[in-house]
Amino acid sequence: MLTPGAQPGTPAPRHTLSWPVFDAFARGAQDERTVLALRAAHLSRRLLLLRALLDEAGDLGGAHDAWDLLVAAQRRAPASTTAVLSHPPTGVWLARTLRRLRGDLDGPAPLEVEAGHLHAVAAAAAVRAGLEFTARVPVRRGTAALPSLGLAHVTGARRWDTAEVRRTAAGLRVGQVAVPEDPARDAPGWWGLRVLRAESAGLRLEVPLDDVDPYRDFRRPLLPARLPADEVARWRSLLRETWDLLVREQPDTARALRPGLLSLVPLHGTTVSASASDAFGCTALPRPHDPAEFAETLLHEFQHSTLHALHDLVPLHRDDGAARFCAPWREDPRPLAGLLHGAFAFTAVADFWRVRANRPGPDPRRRCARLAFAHHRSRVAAALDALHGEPGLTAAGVRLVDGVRERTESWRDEAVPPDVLAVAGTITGEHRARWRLRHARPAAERTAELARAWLAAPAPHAPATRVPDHVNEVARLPAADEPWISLALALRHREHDDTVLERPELVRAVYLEVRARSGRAPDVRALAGWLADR
Amino acid sequence: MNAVQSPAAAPVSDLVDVTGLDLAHLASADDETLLSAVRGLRAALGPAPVLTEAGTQDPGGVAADLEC
Repeated sequence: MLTPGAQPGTPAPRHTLSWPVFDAFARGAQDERTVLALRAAHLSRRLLLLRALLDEAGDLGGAHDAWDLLVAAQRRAPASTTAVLSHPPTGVWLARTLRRLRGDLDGPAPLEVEAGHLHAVAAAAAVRAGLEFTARVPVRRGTAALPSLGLAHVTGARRWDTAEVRRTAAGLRVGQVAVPEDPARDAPGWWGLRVLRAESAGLRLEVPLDDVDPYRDFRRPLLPARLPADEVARWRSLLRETWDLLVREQPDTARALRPGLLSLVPLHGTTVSASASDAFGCTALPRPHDPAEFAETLLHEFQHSTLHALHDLVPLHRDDGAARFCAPWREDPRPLAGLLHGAFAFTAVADFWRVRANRPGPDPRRRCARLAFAHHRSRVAAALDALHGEPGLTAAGVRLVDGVRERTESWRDEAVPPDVLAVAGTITGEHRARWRLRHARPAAERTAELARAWLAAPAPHAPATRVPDHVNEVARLPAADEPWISLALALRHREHDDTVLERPELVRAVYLEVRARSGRAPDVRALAGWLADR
Repeated sequence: MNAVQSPAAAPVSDLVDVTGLDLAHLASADDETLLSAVRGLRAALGPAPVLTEAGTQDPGGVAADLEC
């Protein structure tokens, strides 16, 4: 048993991560030990926040009784109690309740209902520990959840209520609901938390498919959304195929992923997957269409999850929250943290497709994999360029970016057919041009100064263009975005000229200013070339 | 070039490790190391969860509070 600072002169134990391990993490060489270390650090964070909750909540919702039960459970079965405390929704609940206590959040449930969820956490731990006990847990619209175990339907309850949980030698009851001996099974009035299992080459994966916990969503408490059995069967089958794929193609990453994947939350009506800093190891996602998509999503969210945990250990940035960066995967300006997270996540995605592209297989599949690899590699390169020299990164953040760059630079020599590379370049170039035209605004004074300089001594006309239609379209609609994007891409591909693509917003602004001042449109290609030197 | 020059064995982090702590002690401990860690984490807890979302088929983009 450890007691930080209990003995004078004895330093409190710390979570340590050596720089070589940090560097390996940055370069993508994650292993099981590193992920377990990050998971442990996240658990410490959660335990310390639990202490904060006890300090701030007082006895709101009967917190002290709940804590006594949790203490008893831990003393009987520490590992089982850790499992409940590490359960991702427990982290979401804890952070949410602290935010509510601070007044940052509101919600439909009375605060004592949210604070009272500690009873449900304690009861789940006590069940897992094999204790006999009685507790009262919150009931939300007729449902009472036991985190990591399942959910009971309590009849006759008010909208916000409590139900008795009683564990005796005769079994476990929540209200009138008898919970089966194996709580993962369903029974009348009880929905067990179903666990998906897969095994490949001797490597086992077990992960709950959570459709019941009220705190499974990262933003707000939810009622259960029970998946029908055939839908669960599809998830199960997909996970098995996905696990086969990952173990076969990314064996080291698969080993590292196991301790870092603690729950899957099925989403409906969206194509977006998600993870959150409060819920290490949770991936929320719609059911993927195929194993490759599933694997890509798991790797992407795993990167986010571990990076969140790393940032808790050693701050990587001092993000002021200002959305000002061009992230190649988003149309809108992003804050520094988003850019850093995306670069790290898409690096793993690029590597996933790199490995796929190099495996033997049908040509169309390899071609798709090569395109995906080239596309994500290009995105990551652009993001790393944007992060270079960014003062908002801490020294550790700079070191992380260096590690990611080192990893991606080793891919420079990967063979990608020129036509595939051109398509990837077009996608990235189009995004860049569109983003800059929408969000980058040249200073008016600088634009006017350049226009005056051009009018005083314009550059000679450019040679005859191979893209006259695009030039004419810019002349017809000079203020619109699309003609400039088309011209920028056409010049790149037909004339190997990136002068518009580099700074389309500046070329457009000066073009418009010259036209307004002189009444005549300048030669756009000559202007772009002239601006490239300024 | 790495911005941090550190001995290989130096720890990266300073987070106090309470994973082996008896929960009764966690609730009652009043040593400054632990209380300082609690205060630090409490202060660092932002007003809203930090989410990271990935999706390429959402034409409208996602809400402004999302990270990636």
